[in-house]
Formats: sequence, structure tokens, C-alpha cells
Amino acid sequence: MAIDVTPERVRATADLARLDLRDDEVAPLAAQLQKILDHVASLGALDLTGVAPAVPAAACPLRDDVPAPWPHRDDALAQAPRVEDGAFVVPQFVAG
Amino acid sequence: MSAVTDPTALDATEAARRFRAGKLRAVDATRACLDRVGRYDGAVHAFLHVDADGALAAAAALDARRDAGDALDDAPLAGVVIALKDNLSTRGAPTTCASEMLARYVAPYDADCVTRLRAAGAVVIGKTNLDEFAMGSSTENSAFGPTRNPWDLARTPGGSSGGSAAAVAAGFCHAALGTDTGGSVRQPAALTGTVGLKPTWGRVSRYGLVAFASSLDVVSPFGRSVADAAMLYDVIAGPDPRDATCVDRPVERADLSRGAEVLRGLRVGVPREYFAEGVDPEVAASVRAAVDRMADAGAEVVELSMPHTAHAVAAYYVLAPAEASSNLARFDGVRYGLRVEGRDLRAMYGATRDAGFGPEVKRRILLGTFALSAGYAEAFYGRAQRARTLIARDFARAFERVDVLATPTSPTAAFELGARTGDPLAMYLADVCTLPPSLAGVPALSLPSGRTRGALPIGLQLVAPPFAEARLLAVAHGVEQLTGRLPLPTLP
Repeated sequence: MAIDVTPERVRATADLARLDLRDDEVAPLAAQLQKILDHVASLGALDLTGVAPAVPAAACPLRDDVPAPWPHRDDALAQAPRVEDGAFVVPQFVAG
Repeated sequence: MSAVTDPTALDATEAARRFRAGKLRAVDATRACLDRVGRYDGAVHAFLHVDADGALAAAAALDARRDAGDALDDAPLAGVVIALKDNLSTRGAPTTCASEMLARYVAPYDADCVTRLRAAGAVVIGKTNLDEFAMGSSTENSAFGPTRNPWDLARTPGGSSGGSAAAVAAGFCHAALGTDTGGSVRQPAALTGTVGLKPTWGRVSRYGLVAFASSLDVVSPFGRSVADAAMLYDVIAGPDPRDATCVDRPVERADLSRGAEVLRGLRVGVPREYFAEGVDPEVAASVRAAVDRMADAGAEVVELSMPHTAHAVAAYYVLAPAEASSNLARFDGVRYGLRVEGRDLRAMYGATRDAGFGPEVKRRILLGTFALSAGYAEAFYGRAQRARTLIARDFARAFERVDVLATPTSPTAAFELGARTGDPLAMYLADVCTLPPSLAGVPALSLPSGRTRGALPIGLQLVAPPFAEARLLAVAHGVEQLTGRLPLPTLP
């Protein structure tokens, strides 16, 4: 599990997380993540043969999916940065 | 009301009793707390938002009901002034999570625990500081500045619920709610000399709690006494159809009438791994002394081993960030919170999230995203989930032999502000005693066991099997009779 946390790996991971890091953030984050992941690598010493993962998804109960009115629609919309005609507005994301 | 008693010096249990007896008006209790906040919170910075008008109006309504002859039997918390960690949604008031991302966010609804507390007559005076999105152990990761420990203003109150802990310790309110994901209520309780109870995962609804790590987050009360924690727990625990993981089983009330007698014949496990290297000798000695007093009161002390304890930090700091990276994906500048405009949708997401999140939140999002990414998910997330199973088994095996476990809550007493901010791993390692019960989902409580030579509080952690909160609280109440409660600290 030894991982080399390079600035390129930090940038690639940040891209997956939709996080645009500033240039001056990358090197310190790489050093800190390296130290943390080196500690996490200690899990490699555990014998996990036949050990099931905790909290398997099947054990999580689901309630019935029943539609219900939202009581405070205007309050919820009031929190949005941009709203038009009761809808959230975002920048264009397909070529028009 | 007795003129000589300062209502802020009461614990929640006594405040409720006096209200019920007609000896304390809710408005007087609320005003006294607000005055104390006004006088001292400039130095402590426990609060991010104080709602004086709302609190006084709620208090006046309670007094009016009682004046009209209403016995308020449905309001066990009438007379009690509380504070809420600012990651618990409160309708019409800010819920910032101590983040620039939500600096101007006003929740459109109350969290289930908040609805329950209001219905029970609690007066909410404000929202307390935290590490941003509850990620941290010192409240220094708040975007709005750190909270200081009322026992020593140069030191941290712990975290992430440091604002709630400091507010209770400073006498700003009688009790408070925090949230505990890996120790975020127990550790600040230990560092501020208060009592913090993390219930079993699934016992308290998470509806309205801004999610950090959903398989670990638990809404948890602070009090000045075990009875206070029990009183809040009784109100907030119970099923809620809006949280499918909140279990539908009866809430057993703790019987606190037996005092230390409850310890007679009790089997108390002392796991040796919790006294390993890194635990301050003064902390270890104080906790051992508390266990000795339990033995003197008739408890049977069993030394035992929980061999996977040392892996909890590694497992937790994969699993919690993995869940956080997913939960915090919702902060995208579209529906609520900060937006930083960009040339297109992707640029807006990236710029918004860079500007809105602080360094620790970014670290954890990156850690979690990496641990879940293609090619690494099994080696990191998968292994951590299996390690979590082994840690949970340690508890199941221990509880075949003993009724409760006794450990330190934090390896050290309160540390100085800034002492660990440059070294995230050092901060994480300080969670070593509180993480295993979180990963196992079992209830755990911190109460004061004594103080250091420098007069800083030390916390004893007691841990019980799943859904055995009534036992945990009764035992803690018994221990409290032996160790005593701490006074309010003297504020400058």
C-alpha cells in the first residue's frame, strides 16, 4: 500500500473532487497526505483473510419511497445563489 | 427565585427542578445566561450566533404557560437554557458549519433533535463554534476563529464540538448538543471538565445534522453532570422516519437513584492498549485512580486486551474522509451556500469549492477521494472496512466478559492553541481513545476523573454495549458520586 503522493497525484485527485487548488496549496497538501497515507499503510499488516467489511449496504434499512410535499419551498429557493422562475440557474454546460 | 443563586451556576437538572417548583423563571435563567455570554464570550468565542430575542421570547412563553396554571408535564426541559453546535439545522437562524461555504446559509427547517428539544421546553440561546464541518479535534479549523478553553484561555477546548463544550463549561448555558463522529463530543468534554455522551449509532435521528461521515455521526449531549446528559438524551433519542438508520426501539431511561451502589458487582474492563505509549502519565494515573475507586465501591476490575485498537486511527482516517468526500459533494454553488462564478459549470464547481472549504476539509476530501478512486479503493477503503470489523469484534468479545469498559478519553489534557495545527497526523493520533467506540458504533461517555497538577480537567471514558445507554449513564452517575464534579472555572 506504499503510495508516492506526487503533486500530479494531488492535482488528479483534486480534479476528481471538483476542487481547483491554487498552486501554493499543492506541495503542502502532498507532504501532509503522504504522511497520513504512510500511517494508513499500517493496515497492510493486518491479516484480513475471511473478514467481511463492516456495515454492508444490505444491512441499511430503507423506508418506503413516498412522495410528500416540502413545506418551505420558498425558504429553500431563497438559499440559492441564482434562481429564475422557481428553478436553480447554473452556467451553460452544453454548447448552444 | 432565590436572590442569592446565580441561574448560570445551576446544572440543567437543578434548573429544570427549580422551574418546576416555581423558584426559577425561564426569562431570568435566559437573561442570566445571555448576560454571562455578553461579559465573557469575547474571550472564549464559544458562539457563532446568539439569538437573544428568540431565546427570551421562548422563555417568556414558558413563564406565561406556567403563570396560567399549566403544569408543563410535556416540557421536562423547561427552565433549561441550551446551545446547539452550528452543524445542526435551525429554522430561520444561521447554520454555518463554521465554513465560508455556508457563512450566509439559513436552514429552512429544524433538525429532529432541535424539534424535540424545543418541544421539551428547552430555550435555545445560540449556535456554537466547531471545526469546519466537524473535521478536527481543537475547534481551530473554524473559518471564524478558534474557541478558547474556559479553564485556560491559551488552550483549546478540544473539538470538533469545542464551542458547545466551552459554552457549558463557562456557564453560558446549562447544557448543549454537539455531534460525535470520532470523539467530537467526548474529547472536548474531557478537555473542559464537562460530561459528554455519544449514544449508540442509530439511536438519535441525524435528520437536519449536516452530514460529515454518515456511518459514524451521532448527535450527542453535553451537560455539567451525568444527570444532565441523561436528561437531554431522554429527549433526543428515539425513532424518526426521516432517518432510515434511526432504529425503532424503545428508549430505556437510566435509573440514577442508586448512586455509587450501582457499582457493586459491576464488571469493569480495563483494556491495556488504551494506556499505551503516548498517554500522558498524569492522565493514565487519574483514570486508574477512578477505576480503583470503582473497585473500592464493589466493582470487579478485569484487565483485558483489545488487540486491534492501534489500527483505529488508520481505519477511521480512511473511512470518515471517504464518506465526507461523498457527503460534501453537495456543496457545488448551485442550491445553497457560496458560489464563485466561472466560465462554465465545471469551473464554477472548482472555484466555489476552493474558495468555500478550508485546509482541513480539503485535506479530508482529497484523502477520501483518493481512498475511493479506481485502483486504490480495495487497498484503502476496502481494507479499512475490514479493519473496522475487527475493531467492532474486539468490543463484542470484551462485552462477553465485562459490563462496561473504562479508558482515558483523551491521551492528554487540553493542549495549547497552535500546538498541533502544523501536523495533521499528530492531531489525528490524539483521537486514539475515542475512535474505536465510534467505529464499533457503541455508546460511550466522558466524565471528569480529576485534574492535572496544572488544574486542567482530565476525562474518563466509559463504554457500554450497543443500546445500553441506561446502564452507561447509571454507572457514570455512580462514578460521579466518587470522583465529584468540577466547579465552574474562574473567567477573567
